[in-house]
Amino acid sequence: MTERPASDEQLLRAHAAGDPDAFAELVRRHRDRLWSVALRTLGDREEAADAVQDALLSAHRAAGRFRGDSAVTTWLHRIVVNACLDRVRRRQAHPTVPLPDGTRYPDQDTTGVPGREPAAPPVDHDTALVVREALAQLPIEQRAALVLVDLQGYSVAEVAEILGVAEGTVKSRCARGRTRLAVLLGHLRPPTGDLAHGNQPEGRSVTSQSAQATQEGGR
Amino acid sequence: MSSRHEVDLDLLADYIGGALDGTPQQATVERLIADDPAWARAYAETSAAMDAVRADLNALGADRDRMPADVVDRLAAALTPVPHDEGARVVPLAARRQRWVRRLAPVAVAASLLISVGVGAAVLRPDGAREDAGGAGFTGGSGEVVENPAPAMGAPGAADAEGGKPGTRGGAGSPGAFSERDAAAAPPIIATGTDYTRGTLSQLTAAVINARAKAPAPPGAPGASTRVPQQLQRLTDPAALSACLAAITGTRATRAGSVQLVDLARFEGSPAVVVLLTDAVWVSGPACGLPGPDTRFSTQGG
Repeated sequence: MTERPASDEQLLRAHAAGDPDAFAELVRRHRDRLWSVALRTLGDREEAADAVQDALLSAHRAAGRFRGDSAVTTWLHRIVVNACLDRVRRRQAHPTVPLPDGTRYPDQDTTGVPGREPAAPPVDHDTALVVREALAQLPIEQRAALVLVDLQGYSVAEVAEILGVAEGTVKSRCARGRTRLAVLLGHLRPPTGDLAHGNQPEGRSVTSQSAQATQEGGR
Repeated sequence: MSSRHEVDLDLLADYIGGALDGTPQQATVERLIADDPAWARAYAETSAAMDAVRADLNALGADRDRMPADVVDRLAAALTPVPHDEGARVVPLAARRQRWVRRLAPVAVAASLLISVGVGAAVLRPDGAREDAGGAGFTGGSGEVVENPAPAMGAPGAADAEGGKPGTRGGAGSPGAFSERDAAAAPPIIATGTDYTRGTLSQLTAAVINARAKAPAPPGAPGASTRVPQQLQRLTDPAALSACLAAITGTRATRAGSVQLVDLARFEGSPAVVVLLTDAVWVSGPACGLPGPDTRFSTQGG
């Protein structure tokens, strides 16, 4: 029996070198956090399971191409988040009708996950449920940033690396997402316009878009 | 008192969130907050509201999610058969021929098992005698057949991390290799045990089906064939399944290569052959191929 490498990178290298158990150990270490990111980002248990599986299969195959430019956990998160973003974008490009039998969205009591499209305002006072539903209404870019920063506790710099964007962009997405959530959760009076609808992830005015452009170009 | 400049909530959020630090807009917003009561009020309210939201999100994040046991199992099953060499393992032809015999006697259609099925004129050849008719989804050239236990995975997002295009089908370049058309005519056959509905079919893709597929059981082990409903056992015979697929594709007047994946599963509670085509999902009953397609449902309304 071979001795288990200690670090994530050693495990990944061992996997690439043919160790049949190394990747499973790597997954065991990080699966809960990756799952949490996918679940919170997608808001749907089955979608999250599919995304995590697809992502980890990709990582499994691509291990030999890992260059070590970032931490293994950052690399894994990047693949999972990208899988989630791709799923949401595909869903938006090819919308499907809600399922009549509800099999796609398991019972909330057992999964802790609300349906993607709540048909009515929450009837109970479960704060977590209300927050999850509000989070699900955000544009996906803002949601992903907030999940990583405010829910998972990653630094802005780490999230910028995971998402492949500038730190200023992460800050902007988080700040605008928090503002939208503030309106949705009743912490802030609704402004005029469509802020609460969340259809424009990067801003809704010429002024703010130019600010965004400044951040993107200047960092 | 009216505001000289309408409050731009996005810009204000950017300022509060630190996104404008070091940019010309930072000073602009600072001036607006200092000089304009509406901006000052909005700044105070928004700052407090964002703090409240952050607290809500932190509380939500403190409720740690653990990957559910069934997802852990599914993930382990999906990863176990995938070797490290880009998800494909090379199987010598001779060994593969022997394995065909083992797997197909008496019956073993396992999840993620690629079976060579030629659609239309092509015929399943478990003895491997006609490899160019679609022996497996991949070829490594030089007479080697490459078998991929996780076929057609979309690998969404992975390209960004890997700098490549994972999930794309490789192979087909060397003499004797399958052409793209042949590869397309060799759909993987799986048995996920899923009970599909009209709703879930509309979302079906090869990646989705594969994601639901359980680990392939070793030849002869319990579990592989038991996932194939009893009424569909007939269709585990390559000739029967080939006739079924030919009936389906013949009905649709489509070319042979349109079959992407076959799941011997259930539909609305009844045993059904669920066929993923390039542009639709087709559901046939146990009588598929005798001689018609025994159509139960199609996402194209067939």
